[in-house]
Amino acid sequence: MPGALDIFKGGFDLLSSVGKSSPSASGEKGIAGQILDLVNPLSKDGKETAELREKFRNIRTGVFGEAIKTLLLSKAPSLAAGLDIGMAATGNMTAEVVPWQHEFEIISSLLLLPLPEGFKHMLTDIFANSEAFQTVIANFPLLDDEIKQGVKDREPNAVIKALRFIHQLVIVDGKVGFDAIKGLFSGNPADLLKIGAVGGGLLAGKKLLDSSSEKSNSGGGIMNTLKETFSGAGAEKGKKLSDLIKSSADSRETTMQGNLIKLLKELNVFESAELVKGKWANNNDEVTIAFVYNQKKYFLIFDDDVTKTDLTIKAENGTQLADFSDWGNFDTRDTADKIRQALK
Amino acid sequence: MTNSKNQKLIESILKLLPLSSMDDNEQATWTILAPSLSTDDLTKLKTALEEEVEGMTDIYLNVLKKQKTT
Repeated sequence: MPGALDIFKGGFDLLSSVGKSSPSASGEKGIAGQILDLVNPLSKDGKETAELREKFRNIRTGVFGEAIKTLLLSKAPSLAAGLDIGMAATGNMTAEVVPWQHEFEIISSLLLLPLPEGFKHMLTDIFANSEAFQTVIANFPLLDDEIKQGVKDREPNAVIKALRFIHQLVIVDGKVGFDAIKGLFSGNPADLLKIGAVGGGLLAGKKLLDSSSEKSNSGGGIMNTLKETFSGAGAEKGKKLSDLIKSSADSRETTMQGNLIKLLKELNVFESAELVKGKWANNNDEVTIAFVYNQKKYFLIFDDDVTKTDLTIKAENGTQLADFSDWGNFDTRDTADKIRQALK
Repeated sequence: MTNSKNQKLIESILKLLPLSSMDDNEQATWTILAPSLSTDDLTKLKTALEEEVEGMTDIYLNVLKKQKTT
């Protein structure tokens, strides 16, 4: 990253020279440095050693530039945003990892400027209102707690900073591997890529404008992709219930959701249970869970309402095998026994 | 947040720092920064230090060899 190196070279020199009260004759110390001073007169007029020192000093300066940029991004994203604007202004942009990298970095850094809140909300609420996005942010490694709280509070700047952070660490640097976060999306890293990619596209102003016309034409486009990714429809489908529960560790389960988990465990099918319809994170919602019992696949329809909860077991061909209307009045163990009987 | 891999890298770096030709202030800078660096950056720094020390050892050995032959 030559651009970053140039910017940080001055800082590195400054840091290295702070408190330099009594420099040695060569300006360097260290055991190897002292040995080099001894052998210098004997080796090609000191040229070899000088070149070696210079070469590795440049390499270390490079590492310093990269490291400081990552640190800035994690600890002070606003400063890092300023860096992006500065690099764009001086033409010191690096080669793009993905085609929209510069567009995303510059537009998102400009969005961090004191723009009207309403304008920012228009852009960032799509993310802030998404449970999928909130889950990723709440569990994202290395992300500052202050930003996490800001995203939770739907603060536009926090959302933009979080997107920039994910973009940098996952898409550009690859510093955060998918393994570390795959559980947040039930092991489907493609969903996270969508956040980075769609987030990049959304925050790039031109694409946002394009999407306005696409929205009215219902012809697909970035807004529709966003809706599909973050509306929840499809976001949890086909995912292990146990993974979904782990990933939403911060949110409390309802009593009936807790009872359902107990029931599935009682039937020894919890680990294999998959969500095939609806959203687990929502209360008052109907979800369909597929599970395998005695090598046969069944569906459990869990309809949790404010007033009552219905539970239905169906065979793969749709035949209803058991029905527990107002399940709240049933004991979990009794229900499991009745289900076992029905599935015999 | 220092994981065990970073811990080992930091240990190696701390051992290599005095062997490098960098001055005391730069050594202090890296010592302070190291725990905050990513695995990637620590690896790059460690590799650079190792290569530098190897390079200087080669120069030193070459000089000794020349001294013996003259």
